[in-house]
Amino acid sequence: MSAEIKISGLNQFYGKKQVLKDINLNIGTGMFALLGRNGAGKTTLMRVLATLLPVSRGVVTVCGIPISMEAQIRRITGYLPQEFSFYANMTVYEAMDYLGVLSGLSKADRQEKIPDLLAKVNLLTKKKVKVGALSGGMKRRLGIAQAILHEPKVLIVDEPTAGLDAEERVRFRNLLSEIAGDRIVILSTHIIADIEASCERIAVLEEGEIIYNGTVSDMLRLAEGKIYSAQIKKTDLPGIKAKYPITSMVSSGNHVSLRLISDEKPFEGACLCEAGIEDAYMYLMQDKRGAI
Amino acid sequence: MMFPSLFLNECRQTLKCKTYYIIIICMLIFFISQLSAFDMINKPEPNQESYGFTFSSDERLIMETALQVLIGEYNANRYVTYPIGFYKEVTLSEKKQAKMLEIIREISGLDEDELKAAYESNGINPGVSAEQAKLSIAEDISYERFMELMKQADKLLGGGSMYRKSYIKYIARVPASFNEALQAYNDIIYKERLTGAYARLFCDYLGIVLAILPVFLAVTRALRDKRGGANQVIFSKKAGSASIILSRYLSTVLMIMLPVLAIAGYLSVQFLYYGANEGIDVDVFAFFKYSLFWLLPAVMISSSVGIFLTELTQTAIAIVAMGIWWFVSMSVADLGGGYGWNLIPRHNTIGNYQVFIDNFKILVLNRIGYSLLAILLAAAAVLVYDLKRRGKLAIYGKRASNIKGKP
Repeated sequence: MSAEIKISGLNQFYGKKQVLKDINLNIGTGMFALLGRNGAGKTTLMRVLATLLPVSRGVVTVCGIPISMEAQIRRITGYLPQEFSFYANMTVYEAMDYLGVLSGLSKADRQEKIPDLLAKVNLLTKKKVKVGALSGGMKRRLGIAQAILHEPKVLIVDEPTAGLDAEERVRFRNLLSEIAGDRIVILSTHIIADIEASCERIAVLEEGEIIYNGTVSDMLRLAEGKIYSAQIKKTDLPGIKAKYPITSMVSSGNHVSLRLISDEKPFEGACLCEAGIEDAYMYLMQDKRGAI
Repeated sequence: MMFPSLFLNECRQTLKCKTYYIIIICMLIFFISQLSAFDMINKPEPNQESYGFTFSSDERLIMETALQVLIGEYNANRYVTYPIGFYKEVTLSEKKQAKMLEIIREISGLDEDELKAAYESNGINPGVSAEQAKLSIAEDISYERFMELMKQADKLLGGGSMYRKSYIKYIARVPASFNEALQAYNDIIYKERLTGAYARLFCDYLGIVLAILPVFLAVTRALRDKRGGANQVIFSKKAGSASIILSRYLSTVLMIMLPVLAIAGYLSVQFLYYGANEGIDVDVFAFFKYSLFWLLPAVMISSSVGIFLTELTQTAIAIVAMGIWWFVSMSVADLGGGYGWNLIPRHNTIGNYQVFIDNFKILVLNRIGYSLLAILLAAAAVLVYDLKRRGKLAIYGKRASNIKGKP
């Protein structure tokens, strides 16, 4: 059984509206990030992979199994939806136990694995707490614990850090990296920092189309020689903004420090600098729009 | 091994559900208020003052008695009805009273003044026959026409009156003879081994609440995924749709039947003790047999309607649907054993064994029919759930797999 997800010519529709356009992807083991703005089609693609949406057109196989064989796919996949929640009146342990039963685990397996997993996601002390009383971050950790309870080969995690505070986000990213191992982990996000810290491979989705598919370092290379930094007067900002895509900006008194995208040196005083992943992403988006 | 674990898990979840305990309390209140103390049957002795009543099937007597009761109610403008099995007194408007008078005049052939005079001078009451009250039935009226007029009268009263088709045959109560009373007693003691007759009355009452209460538990369970925002997580799991839905359905049915069987057990012990004291050979299992045969199909139907419609619509519409079905069933129910295809077969008397035997075949078909319908609805719920799970069923234009519920 090949440890790979193959997506070929995937087109997805909601009624007449096309939400995914000719998606072609091969995803191997390790952390794979699906980056894109809200509404770009990430969640739709994740749901297709989690067998929650039927394929409109195209071919998708997960570890060699056609996606239409839902029962077999579900055995080897774990899914954490964008807004994970569960029965509010169940305790953390009861929720894990019930979801363990739904995953086909025996009582002995559940009794052995659940405490370990709860310890791993730092929820063991909360095992008797009702799900409804957990914070957003704790719920997300419970979500990841339930998703890997049956040791899936593929882990699909949809926007896991959205809405979390900075500390929880870092914790969650580290947790994901830790559990990735030799699994295929697909992580969708619109938060670029999530990828920088944890993913090697990345696809950028924009308006239902893949506009980049490759490694993070290759993506950085795309923007090489095109990112400039400068310190300008605040009064000059509107003119520069109209001419160049700005990737970041910090105000200080009457001055503004910024980074911008340009094929050549934009003005006197601007310095070529090393591209960060955020710069590279912005470069891709601008390129797609034909703004540069 | 997944199904037994899921089933037990569902039973445990039910034990933590407030709706379940509310249902048990409702069931107990109903049981205690209607059935906590049975009137025990006594052996009739010769030369007793009364042997109770029996119902006459003499058409003329039925017509005379119905007319007598109707005139009494008309004059007082107070009509007794049981629209959904519960007592209600109806007062008619002038217009409707006039229509009722037309009905009385057609049956009796008398005008209003003659009717009033007859009523006042003869003091008509339930113990006085139409003949004694000098009230006669119009010579040219047939029993069929009389039944049509009774139907009109019942409609004027909003249904559930003593003039409805299912009740009119019980309107002419006549004193039972010693032999009739002895026959009824022997049937109960020897053919029904005492508990059979009482178990029917038990089912008659419990059937009323068990045709409606389980729908609340089924709807609560089915809506729990949506309320908890758990749909997508559960959809993505390995468990088959049949295992998920049937474990919920069967646990609902079992958890509702448990208190019913507990009450049946309590009554069995009481009757066993009574039988031992009185030297009567009691059927210890009658309450259990009747509960499973008579009440289980009602529980199955109510639960399956709940689970099917809730999975289909993601709303509590099943409660409304089942409520309407229950209301109609109660309105048309024949209290005396004319079970027909009613969801709530009634047998509101102790004994009446011959009627039970005469209608036993239709009752069996009725119960099997509803059980099969319940199984079909549960299977349909599995299908609906599976389609939703695969994103192939849109609800209000929205795919179920996209419905997030409350995060």
